[in-house]
This record gives sequence, C-alpha cells and structure tokens, in this order.
Amino acid sequence: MIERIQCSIFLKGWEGTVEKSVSTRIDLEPFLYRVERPARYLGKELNSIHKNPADKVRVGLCFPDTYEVGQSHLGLKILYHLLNERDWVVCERVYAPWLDMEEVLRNSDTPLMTLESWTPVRELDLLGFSLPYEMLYSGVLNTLELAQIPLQRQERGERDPIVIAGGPCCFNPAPLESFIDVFVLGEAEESIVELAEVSRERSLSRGERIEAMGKIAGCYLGGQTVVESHADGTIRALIDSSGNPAKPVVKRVVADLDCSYFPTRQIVPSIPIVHDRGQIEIQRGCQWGCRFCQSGLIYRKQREKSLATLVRQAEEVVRHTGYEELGLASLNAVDHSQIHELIDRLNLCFAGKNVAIGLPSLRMDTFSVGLATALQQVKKTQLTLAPEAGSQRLRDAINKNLTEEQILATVRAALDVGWRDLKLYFMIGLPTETDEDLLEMARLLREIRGLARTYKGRPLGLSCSMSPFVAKPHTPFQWAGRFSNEELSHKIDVIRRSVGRNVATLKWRDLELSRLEGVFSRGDQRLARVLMKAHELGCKFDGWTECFDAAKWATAFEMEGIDPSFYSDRERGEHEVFPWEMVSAGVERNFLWREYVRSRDRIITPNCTIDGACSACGLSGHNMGC
Amino acid sequence: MNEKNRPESQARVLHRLRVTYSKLEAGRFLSHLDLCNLMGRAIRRIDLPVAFSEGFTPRPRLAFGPPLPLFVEGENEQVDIDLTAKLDPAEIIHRLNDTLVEGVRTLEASYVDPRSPSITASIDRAHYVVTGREVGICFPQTRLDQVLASPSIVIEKTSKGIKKAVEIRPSIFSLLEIDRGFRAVLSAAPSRTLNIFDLLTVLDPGFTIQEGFRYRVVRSMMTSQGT
Repeated sequence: MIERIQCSIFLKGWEGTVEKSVSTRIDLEPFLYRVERPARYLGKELNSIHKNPADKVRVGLCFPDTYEVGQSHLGLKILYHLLNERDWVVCERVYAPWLDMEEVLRNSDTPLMTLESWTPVRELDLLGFSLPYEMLYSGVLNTLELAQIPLQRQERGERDPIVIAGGPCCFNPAPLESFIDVFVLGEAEESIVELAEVSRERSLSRGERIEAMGKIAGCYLGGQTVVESHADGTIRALIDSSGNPAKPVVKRVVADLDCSYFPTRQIVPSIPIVHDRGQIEIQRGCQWGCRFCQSGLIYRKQREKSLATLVRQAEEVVRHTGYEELGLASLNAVDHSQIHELIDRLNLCFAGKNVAIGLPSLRMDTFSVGLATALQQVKKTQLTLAPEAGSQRLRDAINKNLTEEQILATVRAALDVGWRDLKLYFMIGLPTETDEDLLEMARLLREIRGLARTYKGRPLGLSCSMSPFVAKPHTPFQWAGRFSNEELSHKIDVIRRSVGRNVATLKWRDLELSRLEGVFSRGDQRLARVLMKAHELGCKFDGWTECFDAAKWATAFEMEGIDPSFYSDRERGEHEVFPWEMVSAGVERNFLWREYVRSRDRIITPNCTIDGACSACGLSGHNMGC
Repeated sequence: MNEKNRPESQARVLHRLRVTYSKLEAGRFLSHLDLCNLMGRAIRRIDLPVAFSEGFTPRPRLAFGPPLPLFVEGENEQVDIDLTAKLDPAEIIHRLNDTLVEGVRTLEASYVDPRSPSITASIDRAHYVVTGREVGICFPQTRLDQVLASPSIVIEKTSKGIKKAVEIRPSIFSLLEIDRGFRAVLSAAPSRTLNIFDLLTVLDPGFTIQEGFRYRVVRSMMTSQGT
C-alpha cells in the first residue's frame, strides 16, 4: 500500500528516525525566488508520493529535460507509481533544472535533488533515465554532473547510484555505453522491479549488484560488448566477454496488457505542462509496419486493453485527478477493436462534467466520420493528420498503406463535422525521394485547400509541418542514406515555391538538429567522446531551439576527429554489422532487409493483424504473444 | 446583451457560494492562474454541481478576488463558486480540504446573493504583514512615519520593457512597526493596487525579489474603506 503522509508531518518524523548518512534534505526555498516558475521544483503536487526512506530501496526516475516535458511522459508515470506500490521502495522524480536553476545550484555548489524530498540524487540506490529521443543525451550528462555523480561509468564508486536507462533509445546503447551501468530493453514494468530487488541486496557490492542486474532478462550492461572494427571505421564484429560473438539481449514485453499495472491516481501538476491531461493507455504497439517507424517495430506485438478495463481506468483517473481532459494514449487509437464503443461509453460516463476526450494519434485511412463526431460532442480542437509523404509512390515506399482517396475522404469527413483547423504532418528527405514527390505534396495541400472552399463557415486553418527523415535502428531504413542539409534545404524551397501563398502555413524542423539526431540514432561507442566534449562545451537542452547550438556540436566533432556524416548520411551495405546488434527488439534482421528491398520496389507489406498474412518479422520466435 | 436573448442556462438561478481560503507556505510559489486551475480540478474531483461557462471550452464558473502576487501568502482570500444546487457549505469545505494540494486550504463558506457585488468590487484595501526570516531585521516606526509623511513617492516600474515612473504614496494607507517587520494597509482598488514588493524596495533599498526569502510576506485580509 502506498504511504501518503502530509509533507509537514513527514519531515518532522523523518529527522527523528533517519540517520543523517541516509538522506540530507536541502532547503530549496531560498532558491525558488531566483528562478522562473518556481513551482517546477516544489514536488508537492496532488497525488505525488512522499515516503519515509528509512530501510527502503531509493529509486530516482529521471527525464533529463524540464519538469513540464518530463512530467508529461506516460512511461515514467507508470513506473513511478508501480515502484511506489511496493512498501520497500521509495521512488522519486528527477528533472533537469532549467538554466536559471542550474546556475543557482552551480554557484552554491548544491547537488541536484530529487523532486519529492529535496535530497541529493547521488544518495539514491538506483537512478533511471528515460530516453525516448536522442536529443536528451547531453541532458543525461548534465544531470549526472549536477548530481555530482561521476559521468563515466567506470569512475563511479561504491556509494554512487547505479545508473540505468530505458526507453526507445536503448535499442542502440552504443553511444551511451560509457555512461550507463545498465540498459533496460523494452517494456520495463517487470524488469524495473527486478532491478530494485537486486538493489535490496545490501550484502552485495555495487559491482556485484550490477553483475546480478546483467542476468535479468532484457538488461544489457554498459561495456558488455567489445567492438572490433575495420580500418574504415565500420564494425567487423561485436564480441562478448568470453570472446564469442555477442548474443543479442532481447527486449521485454508485457504479455497481458489488460492485466498490467496502470496508475489512475496520477500526479496533477500545479503548473501547466506539455501534455496537461489525465491519460489512459488504450493500446500498445502498432502493426502497420511503416518502414521508417521505430515505435512500430520495438513495441511489437500490438496489444489492447478491454473496454471494461478502460472505462474503469478512465473513470478513476478523472475522479482522482479532476482533469478536464483525458488522453487515450496509443500509437494508433483507431486500431483499437472497440474504439467507437469506448468513446461512446466515455462520453456517457463524463456527461455533464465537461471532460474532453483526446486522441493523440489517428491514422487517416481507418479514421471514420463517426469517431470524429463522437469526439466533437465534447470539444473541437485542432486535428492532426499524418500522411507522412506527399506522393503515392513514396507512401508505398514507406509502407504507409494509405491512398490519396483515403486522405481526401478523411479531410472531407473532418470538414463535414465542422473541424476548421487541420495540421498535416509530413517527412521530407525519405529514401528515394525526388522533387516530383515534393510537387505532389504541394498539390495535395492545394487540393485540401480547394476542398475546404466548398464548405461554409470559418475558413480552414491549414498548417503543414515537415520533419527531415531520421533513420532509426531496428527499422528497415536502418540501411538507408540521408540527404545532406543542402539537399534538404533545396527540398524545402521546392515545397515553399510550389505550395503557393494562402494555401498552408509551412513549418519545418531544424535541419542541423535532425542531422545530429541521425548521428546518435545510428551511432557507435566512439560517439561517447563527442558527447563528452559537447557537454564540456556547454551543450544541453538540445531539443530546445533557444538552447541548441549547432556550432558547439560541430566543434565537438572536429575536436574528436569524428565525421558526423559517417553516421547520419552514409547508406550501409547489406552485410554491414551495426553497432546496436548486441540488443534485439525480437524482429529479425532478414525481415528488415526484405522490407528495405521492398521499399525500393514500392511493394506494400500488409498489416498482418488485418490481412492475416504473416510477414515473418521474427517475433513469433520470441514468445511475445505473436 | 438584451436580457430576453440570454441563453436559458445563464438566466436560471444559481447559488453563489463565497469561499474563504488560505494560500500559505508552499502555496506562495503557485501563481494565481495555477490556483484557478487547481481549484477547478478540485471541484471536479469532489463532483461539486458547479455551473459552467458557455462556449466551446466550458470552464467552472469561479470568480476570484484580487490575485495574490507570487511569493505572497494569503490568510483570508476569497472566491465565488456558482453552483447549480444548494449544498451544505460546511460539507463542501470539508470535501475540498480533503483533495486540495498542500498549501491551499478552504476555511469557511456561505451563500451570497448572486446579484450582490463581486468580491473585487466589494474590497479596496489589502492588509499585509511582512516579517524578516533572519534576526536583526527591523523597520523602526520613525522610518515608516517618514514614508507616510512624504507627500510623494515615485518608483520606477518596468512594464512590457518600458520603464515608467509610478506615484505610489496615495496607495499607502498605514504602516506599523512589529517585531522583525511591519504591517501595511495598501490600496487594492483596481487602478491603484500597490504590489507589496514595490513597497519593500522603498523601505529596504537594495531589496530585489531574488532575495525574497528574507521576508515572509502575508496578506492577512482584504477590506473596504467602510469597514
């Protein structure tokens, strides 16, 4: 059972019962007058959990970005409550302090603290980083430094926390291997508890505990693999500690999602955050097999929760949080077999309470008028649709399984029920893309604008956001090359010129940033040096436009004599050994190569859950519910 | 708007509950807007039959008194909540306190005539208590009297990047020395509201908000000239 103690009472009791060596509370209050949004650092939000740490395993879960970003992350919410359900664990949150707070901490030589108890992060037993995207890597190093924990894994001592990492980025541990003690592959609901159990073994030394953690399924230890390279920098072989070719560590999956732990007493931040809503997870995984999409491959197999479970969890979340909005998290909500029934039930459940239902991700082809209408009963916001690529040829190449007729039908359906704000999401620079594909995309936007003219009412707000394609490990495009930033600039120009004024607002992601993401996405162990250098030069918050400094990163690469395009731009040969092959998402390399070849021939691979035809991705060999 | 054209839901009789609450300790780090949001969510958690505003994003109908600045605690703040059913005020207070975040507590509540003036319209003075957290801080009455004797006090304020000279003397009604600090009664009238921290910079030259922890600043109550 979760202990819920009022903070004031708790502090009194704590001073009396806990030895000084266990936790030293630091009073942050004087600092809070010197920073923007002081409530970021308060840690006393509704439903946050405050426990007496005496004789407990102390875990910190860190999202190395601001409170507002980190607190929005569903995965950490699940693990936070799941760990705190155990009476022998105290789990607290750690976020990256914003620049102003960082300055205050550094100037006063104050170590970074956990959010709940304001005790030093370095006093934890386990510190876990969540890494959904590569732009957080500099944040990992900065967080460790602020916490006064040695950055290099090998320099840590007996009293330092064991540093673990989870999330999609761990499917290529190589660039972070020098800094992370244990990587947790796949869904961590079970492994995180097993890791905490090992930390409970106080008789073991730190090294012995790490070794024991390495035996847990789905856990990979930093430095477990030795890389043998060719003269050109590509890899000859990945070797394990006994000198044999490394056997891949395979991800963990939750077998029964419906029965899996899900917290409904979610923390309600006192300040607005990025995703400021209650959340239920209706489904995990996606079986459409888009060839660029890492999530689709690493979260296989697709599993859904039952209607009864979801209605109960939704009702509990709203009751415990009072949120005015409930998000139905999934990679593709409309794949849920009972999505219509679910929305009807939720609308009924929240009638008169003004609770809006939000679907963060919708696939265009199966999106239906009925669903749009059902949602609109509560609230009408901007509708985001992701055709991903503008031409049919390219959509087939990426296996989007989506025709132009389907796109236009979806737009018509949205307009019919009164949506007047559409956001379209495209990738640019996809493998084999030509100017013709971009002209097609511009034509599609004009077509949509034309469609909207036939509708009465407010003119359509149409925005189009473009992200340069970044190749990810464990996807069919892991072999693919990337266009240079000069070529990508040209592509953006082509679109801008041909879309025409008053058709759509165009936005695109920073090209340098996306290239850096590409470097680390397919990077190897040598990049640790670049990361270290960039950190020393002051790189942090790379996901923030106002903080990202491409010049500093360029200097870091130069100083370490490493050419970034070797990682980001180069097309790989069929048999090249990848730096991430010591870990596996359960999907076979043969399947990925077949898919890569099919993409060049523009052959669609159907969704195996709908068409029933097995595409032999390899998952069935791993007892992952396939 | 013509009374006849009003939607029916707005014209119907509502029960206006005036709630007194405190925002102390950790509560001083929450902004007024944060407070509005968390009060709305607390109301939803306890299923209070609250009236909602019209429009596409209906919000619970709450009307707060003058906002507390960040870093200032409030002992007797007020908010009006429009309800569609008349429930026992004591019960509401009890249930709200079970679910409110640390630092915010409701103290008492009673129904007022929905046609009576709003909280903001019924007060014009704010009473503050400022005390130093360190020993040795004091504001001698002679110094406070000097301020009160000045015919004019002009401070420089920066609003939207533009510096502006502001006359604050007419907004100060009284200043009284207490142990390690002072009490102040300041104007809370819409055009004449004086931020307590602006007064502090007059009384303690060199004070900046970065050093705000030196003082505990509490708004103890709000009154109107008549009371």
